[in-house]
Formats: sequence, C-alpha cells, structure tokens
Amino acid sequence: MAKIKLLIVDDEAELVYPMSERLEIRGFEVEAVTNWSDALKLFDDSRFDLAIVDVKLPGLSGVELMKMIFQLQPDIKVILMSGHGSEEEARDCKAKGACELLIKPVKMNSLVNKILKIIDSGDESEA
Amino acid sequence: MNPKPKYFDDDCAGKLAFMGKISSSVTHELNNVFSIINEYAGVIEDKIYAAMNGAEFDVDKVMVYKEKIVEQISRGKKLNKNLNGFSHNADDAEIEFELTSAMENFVALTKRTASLKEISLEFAAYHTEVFMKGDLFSFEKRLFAAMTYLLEFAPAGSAMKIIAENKNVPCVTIASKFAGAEFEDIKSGIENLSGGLLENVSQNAEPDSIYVQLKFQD
Repeated sequence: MAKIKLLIVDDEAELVYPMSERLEIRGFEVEAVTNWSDALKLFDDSRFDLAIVDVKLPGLSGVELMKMIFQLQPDIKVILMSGHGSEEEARDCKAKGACELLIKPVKMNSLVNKILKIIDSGDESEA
Repeated sequence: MNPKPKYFDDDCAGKLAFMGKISSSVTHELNNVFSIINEYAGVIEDKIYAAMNGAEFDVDKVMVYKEKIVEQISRGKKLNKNLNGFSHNADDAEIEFELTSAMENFVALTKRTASLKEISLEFAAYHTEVFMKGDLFSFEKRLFAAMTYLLEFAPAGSAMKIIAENKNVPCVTIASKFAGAEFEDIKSGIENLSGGLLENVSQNAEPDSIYVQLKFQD
C-alpha cells in the first residue's frame, strides 16, 4: 500500500524538521519547506494527499497559500496550524476550505488521527 | 495602504494598541519556541520507544536533539527578557535608559513584524553609551508606527536598518528601500505620524532608499 504523502509548510525550520521525522517514523512520506514559494514549486512535479500549513507565513498567509494550492491540486486536503486560534478562526479556516485548524504545540497522536480520519473520509467520498 | 492601525494614534488607546501589537507578536514567537521543544522532546521519546523495541539507540543524534531543546530554552528566555524590559518602559513618563541597548531590544522585539513582510530588520549603533532620560515608550511607539508605515513600501527580500546615533542630538534613523510609491508621498505620510519627533527625511544618492530620522524630545 502506498504511503500517505504529506507536505508541511512552516517558516520555523526548527519546527518542521522534527515534526517531519516524527511523521516519517509513523509511516508517512513527508516533504517539508519553510516558505510559500518553495511549497508551490513542489507541485510542479509532485502531488500530495494532505498539506499541513502554518496560518502565519512571511509574505503570504496560510489561507492565501491554501487557496493557491487548491488551484494547483484541487483534491488535496489541508490542515492549518495556528499559534493562538479561536473558534471563530477555526470556523473561518474551514469555510475557506481547510479540513481542520490545529493549535500549536500539536499533539502527535491527535495529528496522526486527524490525518488518517481526513484521508479515510476523502477515500469514502470518492468511492 | 491598509486602514490606519490604531497604534498610529498618540492617545491612551493608541499606546495600548502598540503594547498589544508587541506582546502578541512576542507571545506568538514564544509559542513557536514551546512547539519546537515539544517536537524535539517527542522525537527523543520516539527514539527511546524504538530502542525499547530493539532498534539501535543513536546517542549522538539524541544529544543533538537535546541540544536543540537547550537552544530553544535560551531563545525563549531572551524573548521573555526583551518583552519584560520593553513592558517596564511604560512604568513612568520619564525613565533613564541607554539608547543603543534600548534600540537593540526594540529591533529584537519587532524583527518578526518585519519578517512577516519578508523584510529583514537589522540593528546598527554609530555611537554607544548614549545615556538619556525621557519617555522611551512613546518614542518607541512613534518609531514602530514609522517603521510599519515604511514596511508597506519596502520590497520583499530587502533589508531595513534601525540605527542608533548621537551626532548633534540622540536620534534613531530608519534606513529602508521603497517601491511602488513616490518619495514625496511617503515623506508626507511619515510627517503626519511622527508627532514632532521628525528630524529629517532624505533620499541621499540612492533613488529607491529612504532615511527617516527621529529625535528624542526632552
């Protein structure tokens, strides 16, 4: 069975690399970048099952990046991450197309469960 | 430009908005520090569980992760110290301070505001040991307003410099690049929000550079 392919975008390099390693240990295939332009370039020759994107990125918000990613790969699932998200922000992110808004620090078990649930529900809706 | 931010105003609400802007930025960064510590602690835990299940325990790698945690604790302590120092600037209308260290602290606290616009904020001191007495908090509020105003015109990828100096009077210069607007328009915008602290706005020889000098009021 093919591995679930994830993209992580956060400008904190020291955050994305250990997070990637932990997700790889749990069987995911992970690409991690620290800015929005590198993230978009990856879609030239890659497809992802799910992207995990920080809401506050230099130069472009995570929500704006999510919209650009949807143009490049409409079927991708997106989880947004925020430092201090409110319920209102979570509703707003979901209304714009995100599957979830996670608050950092992220609990790994919770993140993995959410990824699997989102991917599973996507598979069901395509069946 | 976007609607005028609240911290451009000199009233009490404007000062509170400035305090809020700085503290929300620093607490966001502190949250990142906690998140990084959380991830490295998690990787160490993963490695321990893997070793308990028979995998090789890579001591050198785990020591690197431990060192990353120590680095982040040091980063968090520095952020906390900077924010604490800044908060005490509002204790009294007149406080004694040293200009270069106050501006170095200001740059450390506002770096993230600039980096979100893809601008790198740098600090320089042409003079040191400039001991002063005055309303540092109000000065920093005006400096922040001028800085964020100039950030709106600074091209992504450029650098902005905050320079502390004491030529004729103690003052602080913001040196920045600009694009998409005329120098005279930016100059008049700066004049409107600098509240009498403006010493000079110039272009020097470089057509895409602007130098805004703010002086302290006694």
